[in-house]
Formats: sequence, structure tokens, C-alpha cells
Amino acid sequence: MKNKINKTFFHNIGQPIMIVRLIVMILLLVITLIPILWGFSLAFRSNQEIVNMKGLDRYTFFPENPTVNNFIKLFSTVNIPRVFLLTLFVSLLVTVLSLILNSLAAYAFARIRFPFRKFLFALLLATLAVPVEILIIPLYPQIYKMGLMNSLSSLIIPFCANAFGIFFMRQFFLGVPKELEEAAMIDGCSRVRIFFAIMIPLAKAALITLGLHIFLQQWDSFLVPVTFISSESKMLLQVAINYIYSGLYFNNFGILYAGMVVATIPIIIVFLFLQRYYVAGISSTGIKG
Amino acid sequence: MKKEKRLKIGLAFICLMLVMSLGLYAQGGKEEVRSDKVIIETFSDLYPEYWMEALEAKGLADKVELRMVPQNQYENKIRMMLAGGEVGDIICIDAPNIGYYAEMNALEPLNGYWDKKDFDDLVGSAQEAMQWKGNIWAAPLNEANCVLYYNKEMFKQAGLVAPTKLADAWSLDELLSAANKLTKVDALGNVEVYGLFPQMFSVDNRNEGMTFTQMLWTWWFGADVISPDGTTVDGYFNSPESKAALQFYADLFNRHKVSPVISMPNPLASGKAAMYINGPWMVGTWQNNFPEFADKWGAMPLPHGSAVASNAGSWNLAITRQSKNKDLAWEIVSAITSTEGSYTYCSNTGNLPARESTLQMSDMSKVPYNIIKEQLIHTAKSRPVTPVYPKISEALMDAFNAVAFGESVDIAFKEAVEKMNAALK
Amino acid sequence: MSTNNSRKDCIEGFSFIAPAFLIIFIFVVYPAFRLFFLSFHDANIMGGIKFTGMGNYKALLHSRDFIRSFTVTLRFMVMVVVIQTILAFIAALIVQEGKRLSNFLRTIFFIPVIISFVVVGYLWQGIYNHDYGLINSFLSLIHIKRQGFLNDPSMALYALTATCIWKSWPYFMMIFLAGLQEIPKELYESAMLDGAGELRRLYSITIPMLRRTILFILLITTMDSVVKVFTPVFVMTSGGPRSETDLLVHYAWRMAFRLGDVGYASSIMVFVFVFLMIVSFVQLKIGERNEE
Repeated sequence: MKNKINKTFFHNIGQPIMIVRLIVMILLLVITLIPILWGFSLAFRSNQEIVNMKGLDRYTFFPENPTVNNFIKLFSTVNIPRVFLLTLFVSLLVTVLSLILNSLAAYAFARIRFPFRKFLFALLLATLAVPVEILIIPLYPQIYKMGLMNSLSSLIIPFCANAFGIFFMRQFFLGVPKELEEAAMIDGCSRVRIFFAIMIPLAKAALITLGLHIFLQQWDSFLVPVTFISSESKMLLQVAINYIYSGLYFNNFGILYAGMVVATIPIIIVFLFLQRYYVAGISSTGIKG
Repeated sequence: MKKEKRLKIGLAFICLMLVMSLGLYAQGGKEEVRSDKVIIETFSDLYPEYWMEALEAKGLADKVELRMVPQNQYENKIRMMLAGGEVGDIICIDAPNIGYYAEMNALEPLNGYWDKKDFDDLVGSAQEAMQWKGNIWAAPLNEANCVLYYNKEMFKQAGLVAPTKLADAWSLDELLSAANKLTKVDALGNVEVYGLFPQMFSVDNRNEGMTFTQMLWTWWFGADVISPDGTTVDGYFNSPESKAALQFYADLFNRHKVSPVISMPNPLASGKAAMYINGPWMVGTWQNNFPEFADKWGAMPLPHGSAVASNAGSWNLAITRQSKNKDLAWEIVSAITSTEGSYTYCSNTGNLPARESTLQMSDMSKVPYNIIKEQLIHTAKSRPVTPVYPKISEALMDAFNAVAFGESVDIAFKEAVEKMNAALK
Repeated sequence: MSTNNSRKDCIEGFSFIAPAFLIIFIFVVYPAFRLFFLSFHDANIMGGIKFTGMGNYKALLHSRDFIRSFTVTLRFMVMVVVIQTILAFIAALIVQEGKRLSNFLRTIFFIPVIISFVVVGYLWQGIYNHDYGLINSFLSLIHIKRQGFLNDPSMALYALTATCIWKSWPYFMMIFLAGLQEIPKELYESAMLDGAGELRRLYSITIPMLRRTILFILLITTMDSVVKVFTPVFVMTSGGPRSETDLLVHYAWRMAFRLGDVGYASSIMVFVFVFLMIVSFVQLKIGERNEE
């Protein structure tokens, strides 16, 4: 793998550029963080206080009377543990299943010469052009005809394999030195054995990266669950947040923000711990594009 | 070592497969494990807990399961559920949609179940709304009607006196003049109080409550929406009177600036609007959510233009054709909408009874019920019954919302007429 | 001998790809064809289907709603592609120096990307709120009239654009960063020896070397800006004041799931697909020509 020491082209420059750089950096930090901090603070304010936020003062980012009331009311409005568990279950299942299915297919494309390989690969490429937002319209009656309407399966099965995952893992497998497999094959190993015993362990980092990507995508997904699920008892996380908002005589802003905090904190924690995998993933898709 | 590793991997894989398949099958496809219960699809603002009370009195409560659907997507969800074959035994239908669902073969006709004398107990507008092409398709939970609510303090300060009887209802000019007096603007040009909130929700909303209250304006100028044979809007919505109504409405927002375009969830209770067109359910809402406001509101009859009109039509229970439990479902529907059932429901939610017997039992002397009683008898109109009502409604509300945001009345009006006629073909 | 091998390869190959392709055929390929099929029919979401040939497409061309939606989508797309890409590029240039600082900045900047669009939508709806929102509070502090933002037809689309850019730009900053790292530093050093200044190095080395990355980013951003906008529109504006934010994907969804007009909605989606294909093709062609 490449390992360039990155002395940037800013290296020998004078003061003016440094200042510009600093200003832009601070600007971007502010634009990124201010909304988040503000929203976060709203979760800890009573509805009365939120409605009274008229001007900028020292209470704009720190509540005057901080309260956890919103969180308490949140738990009585929405069954948070169930929503959480359902979302976790669906996200994990999709992640695990798609890692397996995508890797299998990816390995075949990378290393096995089988008929129609090029055609099937091109087909895969073509599916990138029809994301789920476009397909949701025919998918809806189709899911009904398959008897999966309003079931968690409708949120899981269609997403167990996708072109992006296959491409990603294929890139990885292409990069594995052929000698490893050739040696194993001379020893009499079957392809299946090679796959599970050699390829998968080698691919740990790539798998974690892809897995994280898919997990995040599932955790944040809204269009599909809101379309396929119609029972309150099967709501996923993002749908639940929308549900909080949707009470028409809406005056429970506080609960909404509390819900947003609760929905986001876990994923931020996961991200902070595994960020290097996530970042590596984005970088590699970019270059090979 | 290779063998151990392989074993471990194999085992892990199998465990994973097991867990996953268990998970999948635990959830399964359909959730009707308790299929002997009658399932009612509903949303929380209908206060179905009071149905349970009514059912309890008849010993039917344990035969029912309530399935809650988020309200702002209720119509969508019901249609999708019907398409998906996943809908329960009983659904809630808003009156003007009865024609739509009936035409789509989604409902079971109730003629065979419902005793004629009992049906005649319903008030006139309700009887009208339940029928399409000779059959009865639903039973009303309650009737609806809107009044003009106002903030008593603000009226006092502006020196305005609200009429209390239908005969004294304001004309639109009087309404506009009052709205002008009540609107307060601060030094920077920000509006602190809007004189009039002329429809049910903020104009960035798209739902039936909008049409329910915006259609009033068309009616007040003397126009109807659809021809009696249901084939065209020419001469009805497509008429100079109707266009004048749209213009008057648009002027409220853009010329006189007495009405807000900004999103406002609680216009009257938040003190941001002085007058508000809405229904009797607001009483309950204010009582439960804004107790400090509970005694600060007043109600007066709806204003009139060249014509007098008030609206009608509310939520009803219907039995789906897909139901496997129709007889039991009818027992449930009948119990909830019976005289006693509707009395329990309406007295607890502040809703308006749809049955004359229940009206007699109920205390209609306090505001806004006294006004509503008069309006229901003398001026109530039901929205047009047509299978393509959703498209008509959408076209109408899009036009009203658009002109509120400043769209040219000519363009918005023309578009609405085109869309309506296209839908009626 | 070689036939044995290739037969084995054939069997193994297909069995490896079978599970994934089964899913993809059932849930991507088949619906794609079905979408195309439905677009030539008058179909209702509760059943009932009738062949109408080009009927839906003709209706599209004459539909003011559709033309408005398409225009709005175009405006949005152009704004996002231009502003977001430039922003991501500048940020990448700035962030790349210094290991620890760079890592720290990257992490912070990246947070909006992992927050769900539902949460981002409601968050910004609050920020734009006329009465208690952050921006209006600031405006009233400096004695400017409060603005309607999402409730103002002249501003709603821009407000929506800003929110979407806020959420997505760090993702593309990362891609730029990766691309920047691929550029050999010798190029810069020899340029500096030749006396090339800041901007000159940027113009002559950085941008040309990033060509493929830029193309990749443009392709993805264009597609995302048309397709992945359902959630923010749905959550923040429901299509917005006077349909100013009724982007095509949301418009089609409304047609299908609010009004039950599945055939018409399908034709809109087919249109979106064809449109994206054309735009991507054009971008690729321009990219190819630049490579010479």
C-alpha cells in the first residue's frame, strides 16, 4: 500500500495564507458545530422556554433552566427501547447478511472465471443507476404481493446485497496477492475453503469498513421504513422521530429534540470508536472511482 | 491449527445463521396471531380510548384490538394497507372520502346490518354523507362544524363585540375590518399578532383539514364546487364568484396582511392570532394542552358572504371488505356509534354528536355548542361526495395555499380548475 | 483437464454469486423493469391497471406541476453540485496539513454526515424557525426583519439547499483528501524550486492531478442531489411553499402514495432515471475529453 509522507504544498508559505486558512477553518468549525450545539441544548429546555427564545443572549446555547423533563416525556410518548431494539436488529441483520452475500459475490468476480462474468458485472454496474428512491414505487405493490407488507422482513431482505458492497469487496480481493490462493490450491483446498479460511480473515478491515457503512445507512434510513411499515409497534427510529413531530396540534418541541438527541448519540459513539475504518472506506472508493 | 480455525469459523457461521433465522421468523410476515379479535385502524387524536369505554359498557372491549397509525400519514397508510391486503376489520374514514373507498370496493355495505329506524336517528348532513350510490357505507363517530374562535382579551382591547347568535353573524367586510384592528405590528415590521387565522392549519400543510376550512370561503361567495351530476366544475368551482373568493382569501395574506404564512402550530393559544376558524375539538385540545388558555377564548358564528354556510362531515367507522369478522365488526361499530356509545365519546372529547338522540341527551347550551347547534340545523353543508374527492381536495387546497404564499390568483385558479376537471373525467 | 477446471469454475462462480444476485434480481432488476412497464399504464395503488401508451409522458409535458418540479430540481442540483464541491475542495486543502489537527478537524467536520437526515431536517427546521430559530434570533439582534426561510417561497429552496449541503459536504471533502494524498510531493517541490507560487501550484498541479477524483465527485453529487433528497423535503417542507421545494423524487412519491397514481409516478421516475443517465453521460464525455 502507498505510504506517502504528506508534506503539503502549504509548507513554505508566509503569513497571509496561514491567516486565511485559520479563518476558513474556524468558520467551518462554527458552521458545523453551532447548529448541533443549539439543537442539543433545546433538548434540555422546557417547551415554555423554547417558545420564548427570541433574541441572542447568554442563554442561547445553555438552557436557563435545564431540565430532563423532555427525555422523561419522550419515553412515555414513544416506546424508545422497542424502537431502538428493532432498529438495531434490522441494521445488524442487514449488515451481517450483506457482508456475507456481497463478499461471496465479490470474490467470485475477482478470482473466478465463469461464463457471463462480464455481462453480470455490467448488470451490477447498471443497478447503481436505480437506487431505492426510484424503485420504491414498483417495490411497494411487489412487497405486498410477496406477503411482506408491514413486516420487518421487507426492511431486511431487499437490502442484503447491493452493487456498492460487491464492488467494494471486489476491489479488496483484487488486491490480495494471487500466490496465497495458488499455494492453497496446490495444497488441495477447495475454493469455498479458501474463501472462508483465507480471504475472510484477511479482509477484516475491509469488512468492518463496509459493515460500518451499511450499518449507518440502515440506522439512518427513513424512506423505506416509512413506506413499508404502517404499525406504530413496528416503527424504526427515524420514523419514530417523524411520528413525534406529526401530532398535529404540536407543541412538544422539547420532546422532538430529546428524541433527536437519543437517536443520534449512539451512532456518534460508534463513529468515534470506529472512525478510522469509515474514513479509510471513503478514501478508497474515491481513488478507485 | 487450520482445522480448529475452520471449525470455529464454521460454528460461528452456523450460530449466526440460526440467530438470524430465528429473528426473521419471530417477526414473521403478518402480525395477526390473535385473529379472533376485531382490528380497528385508528390514530390517537380520535381518542379511541373512549370507544373502549363504550365497548366496555357492552362487554365487547376484549374483542377489539386498536392499531395506531401516525395521523399525518393516516390516509396514505390506509390506502397502502388496503392495497397491501394488510388492513384490519374496521377503518376510520373522513366523510368526503367515503365515496372514494366505496367506489374502490374497499368497504362492506352496511344496509343489511343497520336497522332503518336507527339510521334515521342521524342528523341530515350525516345521513347524506354516509350514502353513495344507494348504499350505506359507514357509521359516524361524530359530526363536525366550525366556528370562529377569538381571543377575548384582544377583542376587549380593540373594542370589538362578538356576535353570539347566528342571525348576528358578521359579514366578510366586518370580519376584515375586525382583523385589521386586531393585527399588531412592531417597530421593525414584524407582526406580533395576526388578526385572522383563516383555515385549520398553517398554509404549509397539505391535509384534509385545510380543504375542510378553505372550502368555506368558496361557499361564502355563493359558489359550489362540483356539479350535481359530478362531471364538471364549470359553473361551480369554475365561476367568477369562486374566483372572487380566492382573491379575497389571497388578499388576507398579501394585501391586508392580517393572516400569517409562517408555520404556526397553535395560533390562538400561543397568542399569535386573534381569530381562528376551527372546530369544537379545540375545546378539548386547549383544556388538555393549554390549561392557562382554557377560559380566554370565545366563539362566534362563522361569517358569511353573499351566502351563508358552515361545514360538516367528520370521522366515521367502516367495515372493510377484506374483514374476516364482519358480523362481530358490525357489533363493535354499532356499539361505538350507538346513542350511548356516541354520548360517551362526544361528552369526553368535546365532539359533536351525529345522532339526534344523542344531541337531545347532550348539553349543547355552552359555547361553542350552542352556536354549532344552530349552524348544523340551518347552514351546514357537506363536502361534495365523489370518488375522486382526494384529487379535488388537493387541487382546491393547493390553490388556496399557493395564493396565500403570493401566487397570482389567475394562475392558481386556472390550475385548480384544470386539475379538477381532469380528475372528474 | 481444462474443461474440468472451467466447469468447476462455472459451478463455483455461480454458486458464489447466486445469493447476492437472487436478491438483486428480485428486488432491483425486476422492479426496474416493472417501473418502466408501469409508466405506460394508468395504474392505481389499490389495483386496477389500464394500458395507456405514452399517455403519462404526454401528461408530464403538459403538467405545470411537473415542469415546476423539474425546474426546482435542476436549480437545486446545480447549486448543490457547484457549492458543495467547491466547499469540499477548499476544506480538503485546508485540512490536509498536520497529522493531529487534520484528524481532529476531520472528525468534527464529519459529524453532520452521520446524523440522519430526519434529525438534520428537524434540526434545521428549528434553526430556520420564524419565532425561536437561531438565525432569526441573530437577525433580530442586528435589527433585521425576521425571515420566513422555509415558509417564504422566495427563500425556501435556498434554505433547503443550505441544509443539504451542510450535511453532505464533509463526505466529499474526504474523497478530495484521499485524492490529494495521491499526488506525489515531488511535483510540488520541483514546482516550488521553479518559483511557482501558491495559486499557480494549485492550478497547474493539484487540479489536473485530481481530475479523476473531481469527475467521480461530480457524478456522485449530481446523482445524490436528485435522488437522495426525499427525506429532507418530506420532513422540512412537504414540497414547500408554492411547490418551491417539491423536488421530483418527492413529487413522484406524492403522486404514488398520496394520490394513488402509480402509473404517473412511475413515468416521473423513469424520466428522472433517463435524465440522470444523460447528465452522467455528458459529464463522463467531458471528463474523457479533458484527459487528453
